[in-house]
Amino acid sequence: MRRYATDPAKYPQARFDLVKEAVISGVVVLVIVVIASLTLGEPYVKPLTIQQVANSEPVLFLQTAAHELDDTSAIAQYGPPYNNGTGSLQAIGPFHPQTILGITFPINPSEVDVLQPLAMATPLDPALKPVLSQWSHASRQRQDAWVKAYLAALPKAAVHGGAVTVPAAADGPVPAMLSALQALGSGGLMSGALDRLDPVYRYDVAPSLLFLQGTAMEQVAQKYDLLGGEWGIMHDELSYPGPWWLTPYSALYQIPPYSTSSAGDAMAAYTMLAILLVLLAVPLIPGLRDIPHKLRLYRLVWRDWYHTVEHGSDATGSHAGMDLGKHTS
Amino acid sequence: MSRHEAGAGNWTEAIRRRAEAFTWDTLLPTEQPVYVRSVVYSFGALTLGALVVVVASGIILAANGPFWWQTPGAGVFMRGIHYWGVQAFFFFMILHLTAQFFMGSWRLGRGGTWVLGVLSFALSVVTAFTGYLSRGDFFSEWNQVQAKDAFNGAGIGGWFNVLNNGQIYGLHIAVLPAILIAFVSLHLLLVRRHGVVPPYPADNEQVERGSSR
Repeated sequence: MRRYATDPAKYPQARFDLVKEAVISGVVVLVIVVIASLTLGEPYVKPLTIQQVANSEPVLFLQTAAHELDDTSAIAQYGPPYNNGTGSLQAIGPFHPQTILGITFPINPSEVDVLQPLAMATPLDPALKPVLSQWSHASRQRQDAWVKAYLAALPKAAVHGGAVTVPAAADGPVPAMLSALQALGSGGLMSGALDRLDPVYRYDVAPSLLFLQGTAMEQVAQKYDLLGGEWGIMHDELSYPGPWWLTPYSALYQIPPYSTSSAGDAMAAYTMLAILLVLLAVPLIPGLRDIPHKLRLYRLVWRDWYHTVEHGSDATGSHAGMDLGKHTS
Repeated sequence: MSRHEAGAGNWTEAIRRRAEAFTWDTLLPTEQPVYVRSVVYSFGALTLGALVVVVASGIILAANGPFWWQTPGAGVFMRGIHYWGVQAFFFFMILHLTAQFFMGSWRLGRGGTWVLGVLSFALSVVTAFTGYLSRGDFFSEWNQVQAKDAFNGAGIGGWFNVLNNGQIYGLHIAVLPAILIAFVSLHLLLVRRHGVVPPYPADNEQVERGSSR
């Protein structure tokens, strides 16, 4: 039903200049934004690199690489869209939305993060060739035993000037492999070796970011109060406002069941979708659409109009528009 | 003469008829009802002003590239304009949305305007999010690895790959703004076409059927 036409007899017209209102609004915003940018600056924290981790946290680097090598890292066991794992598979009852699109971005961490970079480094360090051969010719059980022994010895490692000396253990070629990988990382060549899904333009940085995620990145995030329990993405960035408009979304993560369920992400996403649908349907939902009428806050906006209608005096003036431009004609 | 030959019901004719309804006086009116007189009416215009600033600064940033906006000097200043423009955009948009809710602005056949406004808000959230991922600093990295779980868990991570800077940047500077600008344009056209929603009936007025819906 078309009922939007307003009756000029009931609602007298007043002069109005839309172009002027638009220009004033644009200039007001531009002035505010330029002053804010000049005086306050904007948030920026240098990105974390694999090179930094390899140099400043070499044991953590080696631990991460060891877990990638024997496919016990979080990403190796993640699930779709990266692999067949179930470690991060979220389910709402029998519903697994994560599996719908399948494995669209396959990642094999042991190959991508360790074996391929080392194979690429072989021309620079020929001693790696027999080491990699020893690894590839061993059984899976043998490989797992080597990595397990290495990870057990790693906490007792001695670190001198960035060089890590791991106590002797039945860990086969693993120390030589991961030491070479750390050298690659320390020299700044690691991310280039990892991000090769599109070998020229390197748009997809999934491998290097997935290598960095976990303890290395969380340590930095904690420094800036960015962890999930601290309202995550919408938290202030340094002393600047973050995306505060995500407050309702971030708030869900602070309360059960979102904060406790392993499917918290999926539940939060679908809750926000439901809220969006309700917001879209406000004009159709009895009760909800009547709230403004019952609260009567609109009488503040149209106070001049109601004064005129209810008391008969002309308090409207002769110029419609926002207060910003009402004194000019 | 067939119905098709007469043009009645022809969708191209319908588009022309609808377009003809927008005269210059509809688009840029010289008069408005007297009740259009409050600072509240500035929120929508200020939101639009902020969007213009965001798009203009975004075009300059895109023209110069990621290295430029991470290098101290003009690039960082322009990134600041873009950042504060987005803050202003959401500030005024949420004021606008809240005010329109309490004014019941979907009444009298204006439901489509409300829906387009809410869709514009939702799309703005996604567009701004892709911007946060495109800045190229630690916040971007952190939000990328955190957000992947959210998008994967929701079932769209298999397409919306937040770890692919090419896809996210393309969405941020082209696809999402194009859709957003289309939504906002339609929203504005509907506002102009239908006029500003009248006030709820006064206490001493007889309530017309449906006037509060």
